Amino acid sequence: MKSFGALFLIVITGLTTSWYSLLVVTADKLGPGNLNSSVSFAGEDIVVHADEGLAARGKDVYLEMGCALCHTQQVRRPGYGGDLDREWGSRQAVPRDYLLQKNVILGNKRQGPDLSNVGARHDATWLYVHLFRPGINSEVTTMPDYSFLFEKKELDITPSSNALQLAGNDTIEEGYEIVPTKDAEALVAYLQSLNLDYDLPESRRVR
Amino acid sequence: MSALETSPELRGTSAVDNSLKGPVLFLLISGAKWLILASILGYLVSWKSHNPGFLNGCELLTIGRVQAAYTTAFLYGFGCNISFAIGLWLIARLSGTPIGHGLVLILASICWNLALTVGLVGILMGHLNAFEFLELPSYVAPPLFISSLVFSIWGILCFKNRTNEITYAAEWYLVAAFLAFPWINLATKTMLFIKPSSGVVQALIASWFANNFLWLWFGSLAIAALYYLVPKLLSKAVLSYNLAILGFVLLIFVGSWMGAARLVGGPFPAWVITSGIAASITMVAFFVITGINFFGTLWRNRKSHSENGILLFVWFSSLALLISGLLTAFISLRGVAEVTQFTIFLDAHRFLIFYGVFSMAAFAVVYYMLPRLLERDWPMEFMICSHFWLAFVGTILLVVPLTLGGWQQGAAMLDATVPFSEVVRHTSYWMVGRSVAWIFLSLGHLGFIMHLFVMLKPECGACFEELTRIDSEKVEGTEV
Repeated sequence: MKSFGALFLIVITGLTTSWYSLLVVTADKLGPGNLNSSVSFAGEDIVVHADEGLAARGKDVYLEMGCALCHTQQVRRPGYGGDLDREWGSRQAVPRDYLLQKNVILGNKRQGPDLSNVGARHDATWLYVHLFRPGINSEVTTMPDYSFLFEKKELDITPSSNALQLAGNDTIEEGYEIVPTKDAEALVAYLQSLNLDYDLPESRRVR
Repeated sequence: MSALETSPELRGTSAVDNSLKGPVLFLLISGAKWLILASILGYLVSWKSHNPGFLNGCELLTIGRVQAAYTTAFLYGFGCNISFAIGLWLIARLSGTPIGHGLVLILASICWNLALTVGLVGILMGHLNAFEFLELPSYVAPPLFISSLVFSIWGILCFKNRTNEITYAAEWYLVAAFLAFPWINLATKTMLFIKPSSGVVQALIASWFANNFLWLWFGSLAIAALYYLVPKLLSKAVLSYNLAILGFVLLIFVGSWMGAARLVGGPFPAWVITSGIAASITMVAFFVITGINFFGTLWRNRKSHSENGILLFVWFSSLALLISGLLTAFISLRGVAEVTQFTIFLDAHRFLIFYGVFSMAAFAVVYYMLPRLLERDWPMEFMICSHFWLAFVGTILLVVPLTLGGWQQGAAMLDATVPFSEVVRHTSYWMVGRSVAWIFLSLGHLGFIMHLFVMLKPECGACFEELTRIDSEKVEGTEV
């Protein structure tokens, strides 16, 4: 390896090979060219979930808040990891599930639980309280408060319909209420949309 | 280093050193500043991860953002600045070629650091990406790419115009690093941000990048540094140069495939994961080769050399390289990954590669390089050893608890009868170790930076005098 040419060739060939065979080929195999976002299965026409409307804005908030650094969005196959036993989903996640998402956030850390199906586990009220002060819902948690996604408002004659229902030590001073901001509403809409409540022909398959 | 004045190589290489003095010092000082910030952020992340009440409810300092900022400051701020500095110096020294147009390098450094500062502020404001090591907002990618390209071109041109007839193993790795860095950045950012690929392949692209960023950029540089320093410090050749060639080819052709192993169990075709696992296992051969050449050479000559701070860094880096490499293969196995995936075990592993292998080797080069560049010894030799021991204790205190805690976390997560809150509670105990570790690491960094500034004081003084002279001339000019 004395000449620059030989070195250059080795490095560029090596990198190009792994880039092409791993990324380009997979991008094609798992991309819209080879996978359809809609499919007929068990007599039903199924279209996989896309981030739309308020949920799409909520996904941006999810990214901005750095949620993805502690939460994953992938349910592993049966028999591998405890994802299904922990009831983080009723089936494994498959490539087609992510096809219509602009940003795919599989995540690689589980400081918190997987969120692929969080919309099926919790309702909006629970999610709002959890974002405001996670300690209320979970006795042990390392999740910080996202209280800055909420506003403290002076109480009108009738309380706002979306005001948080806080009890015990968590109640705030009288004459005030806590209401979610637009960002919190979008984030909760997004979290509620996370629900793989449909089956795909390949999702029952055990690899 | 007391024999520095009598070193014959010094006179022959002074032209090389002089050509690089400005850019290298600029990059080192920038790297040192980022290291301070990274230490603060690292401590903050660590503390917040087991004590979420700390600075709670502050949007800018939410743990996700601080963590992204920490990784960026540490890897791109400290890591890359130091990499450019030592990479350029090593390649110029080994090629025996002075580097031309140093001013362009300084401009590139300014561009790199400005873009990084903007990016870091962007992250804290929430403009972060959710991919590992790619957290920087995409709007700072072009200036970062252009400045890194300048460093790469300068490094490669220096090698092309070499006057030394022999080509050293260290040079292969340096050329590989300088070629790989722009390549992986361009490929990744095109496929993720310019023309985004749809679907899960995004995660594959990110993990391909993370692996190559760690091994082909930082790893290559660390290995180049060791191939340079081990023979220099021992005055003995490494055990097998033939194996070194095989190792190099393995790293390029097989090492670049390892990233996919991380995605095991995820929504990917089996062959993608299997390719990553097969690559990780094949790479054991590579780590055995580097183990023989670095650790073996050091061990064989352990009695023939006197104690010296730089050698301690080299020892540690060689050992960390062997351990982290074998761990890479171990955690790629499906049965093991089932436990370690998504846990703090992987944080420990990443840290061992970046800090234990790369940073330790980089510190060694800095300690070796500056006396030659400035033609004077370090003012406080004992500080080098103190820095090493603080870094050593810090690394052990960080890696060991996270490894054990990560294993426990993974095993508990596998058992669905253990409530998730229990998993969280147990894991947070282990993470206290990391906070203690950061105190040691930060003290080491503080010592390193203070020592660096004492060493550079005459340069800074001269620079300051020059500036004030220009200023006073200007003032006089206006008066006239």
